[in-house]
Amino acid sequence: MNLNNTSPPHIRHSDSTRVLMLNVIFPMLIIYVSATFYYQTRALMLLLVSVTVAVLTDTICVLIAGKRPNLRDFSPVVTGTMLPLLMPASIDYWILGVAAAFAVVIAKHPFGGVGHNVFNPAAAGLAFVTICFGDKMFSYPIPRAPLPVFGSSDLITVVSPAFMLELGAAPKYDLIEILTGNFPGPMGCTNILVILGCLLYLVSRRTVRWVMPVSFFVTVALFAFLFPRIGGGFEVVEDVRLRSVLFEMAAGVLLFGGVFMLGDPVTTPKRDFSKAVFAVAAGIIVMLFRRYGSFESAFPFALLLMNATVWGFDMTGEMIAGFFRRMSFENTGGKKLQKKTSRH
Amino acid sequence: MSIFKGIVLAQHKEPAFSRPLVRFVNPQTEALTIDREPVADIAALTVDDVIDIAKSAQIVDERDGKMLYRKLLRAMGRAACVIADAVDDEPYVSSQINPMMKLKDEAVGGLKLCSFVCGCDNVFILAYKNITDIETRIPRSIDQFKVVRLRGGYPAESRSLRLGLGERRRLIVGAGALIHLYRAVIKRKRQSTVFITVAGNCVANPMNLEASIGMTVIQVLERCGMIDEPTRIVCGGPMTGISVINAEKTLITYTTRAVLAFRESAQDKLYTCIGCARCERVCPSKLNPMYIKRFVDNSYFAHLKPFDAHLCIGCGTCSYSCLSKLDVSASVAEAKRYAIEHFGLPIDDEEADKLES
Repeated sequence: MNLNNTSPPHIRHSDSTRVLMLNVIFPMLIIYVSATFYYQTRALMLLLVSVTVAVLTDTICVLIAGKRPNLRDFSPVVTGTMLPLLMPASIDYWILGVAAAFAVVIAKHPFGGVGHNVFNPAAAGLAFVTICFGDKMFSYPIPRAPLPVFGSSDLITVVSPAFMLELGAAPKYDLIEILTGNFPGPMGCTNILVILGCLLYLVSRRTVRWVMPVSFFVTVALFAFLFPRIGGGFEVVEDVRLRSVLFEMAAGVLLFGGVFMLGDPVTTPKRDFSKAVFAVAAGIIVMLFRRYGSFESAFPFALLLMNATVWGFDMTGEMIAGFFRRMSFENTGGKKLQKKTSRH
Repeated sequence: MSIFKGIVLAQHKEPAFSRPLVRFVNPQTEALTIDREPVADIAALTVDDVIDIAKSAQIVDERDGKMLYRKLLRAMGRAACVIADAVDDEPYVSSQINPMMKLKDEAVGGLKLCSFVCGCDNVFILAYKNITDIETRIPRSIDQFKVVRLRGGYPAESRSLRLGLGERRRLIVGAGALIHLYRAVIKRKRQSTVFITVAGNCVANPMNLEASIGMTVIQVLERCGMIDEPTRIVCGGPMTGISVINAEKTLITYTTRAVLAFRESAQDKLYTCIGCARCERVCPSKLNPMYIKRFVDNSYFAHLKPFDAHLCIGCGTCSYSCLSKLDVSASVAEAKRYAIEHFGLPIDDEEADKLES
């Protein structure tokens, strides 16, 4: 009888890392349906290119590290699926490829690969191409306009609401257009209703802790309400404040990032109260970057900055948790270990 | 800090739970008696007599592996409540609640004797609430003793007992030890058997057995029949039990509460930790097993002190919930050993007793 000798427990929860990643990929595929409606087949081609580059570079990095590629590890697929949704549908394929390769080769594997990366790979890839190819990154095609699958030189592109907010002007879109994503912007970041549906799915599947997006969006909304960028800052009426909240939430990659990137388990604090404080800080930094920064897309930079502070949040959270833990332990009758039971 | 409610586990207690308790004993050891005169009148017994009989009968409490007479000595005249432990909050295991219900006269007799030793009237039986798949109803009371149902997910037993059930000075005795105490007093029998649950997907007839101490695991499994060759045999519950390497040489001991035989498909390829922190959310001691494991894996033992690994109760919920199927609880146990040895950190009464014993 050949018996396995393993440590307890001998039963395991049915969820796995693979399931967690599939839970992230599935709602993003729903967003691709919406993106295909507005940007036709090009949306799917971008997905194909991005995932292919991410998976290939990941496999090469794993082989260079002397490990066996794990076919069940869907982390490069998550990165590859996420990146095109953060970019304009008219983006050149090679720029997308550079972003995917940077995300995997620079932001992920040098830190030890999946589970060890300090920075969110998708945010790093996006930030890199934003700095290098800003003109291409902030030129958006008009939704439903014919978009060629290959080539983009003769495309008519426009600016997004995020750029208009940067100038202090209110975008001229009505509520329905905003909610359904019928305005220029990053391919997967405009359809608010679909993204909010994805958030509900992720929270219900316990893939994302509700505390992160709620803290983040409340902070952003409060900031936008108190310090609106539209209306010049003087004689601000309540209507302008509410419009400011709506446009700030809808513009750029903030909503998508708050749902899919901020809740990344690897690059966020572990305890719930650390997560809440982290999300509030991220919200404030995003809004400060938007207000005083030079890029209309502030979220990836703010997220990368916050990613670098995760260790500090975790250790502070651990100190606070430890204080309550020991207090609770002493209340339930804990006592000092006797010297005689100590072996030293 | 959020209130921990435990993790929900499918219990799989049937059919063993509702089936009759079967005796599977060695006649030679079964005939062993203690060297005492038969008790003519139970009312004439003194507290010292009961403790002496428990000592002579060498009764061991199956819930913590301690000699019952020592527990009685410590609780004598001091305990404010006596609790009969029939919780069985681990899946498959029903080796306390089943004898409590099937041999209730003996169990209640033992409970009365413990109550007599402690000199208190606050006596109740503890059973688990979250068992939904059983065919037999757990009664509200057994004889005159109320059955208190523990709510919440796993680990309900250690969590509730740590929280004190409102009382710190208490005597908690397993259902099996109560039955053996009664038998020792009335029938002069030494403890030679234990109550175990035999179950798992390789067992043809899952049931609760009263098996002789010293039998091999394979004997017990063969008594219940095997429908498939197991790839894993576990002595104890599925959350805390120990893997058996050689079923023909592993013996049933005083603290064996279950023998489980499973046939499993090949284990999933191991992933690295992705830092999802599910282990942190399910830990009943509010520890951060993820960081403890990382520190242990990198041999940063000296930096473990703020993580309070010594407060781990060994319930295994961290490993159970781990998405990457890592042995988190093994790392935490290693950190706990190191913390107790090197940091001299405070531990509770139960842990101190374990170390002393």
